[in-house]
Amino acid sequence: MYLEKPTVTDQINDLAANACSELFADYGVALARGHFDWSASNDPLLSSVMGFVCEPLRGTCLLVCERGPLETSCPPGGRARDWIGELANQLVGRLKIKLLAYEIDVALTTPIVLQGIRIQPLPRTATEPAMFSNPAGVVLVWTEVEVASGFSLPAPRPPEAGETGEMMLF
Amino acid sequence: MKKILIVDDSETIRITVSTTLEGAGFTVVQAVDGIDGLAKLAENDVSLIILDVNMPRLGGLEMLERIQAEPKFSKIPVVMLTTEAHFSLIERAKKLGAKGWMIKPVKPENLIAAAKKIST
Repeated sequence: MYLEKPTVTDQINDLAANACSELFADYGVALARGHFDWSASNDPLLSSVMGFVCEPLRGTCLLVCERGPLETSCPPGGRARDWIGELANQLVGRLKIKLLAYEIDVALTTPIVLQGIRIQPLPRTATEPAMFSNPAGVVLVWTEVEVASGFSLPAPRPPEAGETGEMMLF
Repeated sequence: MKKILIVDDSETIRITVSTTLEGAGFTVVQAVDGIDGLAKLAENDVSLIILDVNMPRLGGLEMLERIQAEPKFSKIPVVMLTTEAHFSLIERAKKLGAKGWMIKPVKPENLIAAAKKIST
């Protein structure tokens, strides 16, 4: 039986938040994490959702961006609709690498892209996103996680994995 | 001019890789997934394949298996470009004949260096 366990959810939310900050930094956008009223904006938002799953754990990550940080981070020639999906892919990919340090090896879904105003999930329990601001706009990350009964994240150790940006030639 | 095939379901990644490699003097052909990649491979004489892992219809490691099973394609070098980083996957790609593994985001200079070193 899978249940939400707040301590695990909080740990994974922090990992996802760190992954988001690192990801945008790699694309030239410095994000400042904070706490603010993100829900008042009527600006359209692009978002992307990806799932991740393994034996003791399953979850979903929702990445929401205002146009500013999305367009600023997007490589030349790219389109916002495709880029938000790729950002979610790389965000959850980074989360996956971080989870490897806890001996958690998740499989990922492909991203789905959504557009709307005031996008947010309807979680089963009260949850807030990791909130980031940048002069160009706001970025939000929600993560919902359920784990098998009795599961807790073990102490982390160096993962058997490469690092983001690494190139290996054989 | 050497021709490179980039296979990735992200249009932005395809554009970024193409722009970088074309700036370095290569010609680039794009494919949106493994099925499209195999079709483009049959139509083009390529010197290198840059291949994403997680794609719809046919993933990168599955496309790599089919490339290796086909004598007319098996000598074309393949480098994986992906968010995946687990050593077990990297080892699997190496055993399937891949010549390299790049974890996104890849620096343009690394991409160009790999293309110049590995392309036939």
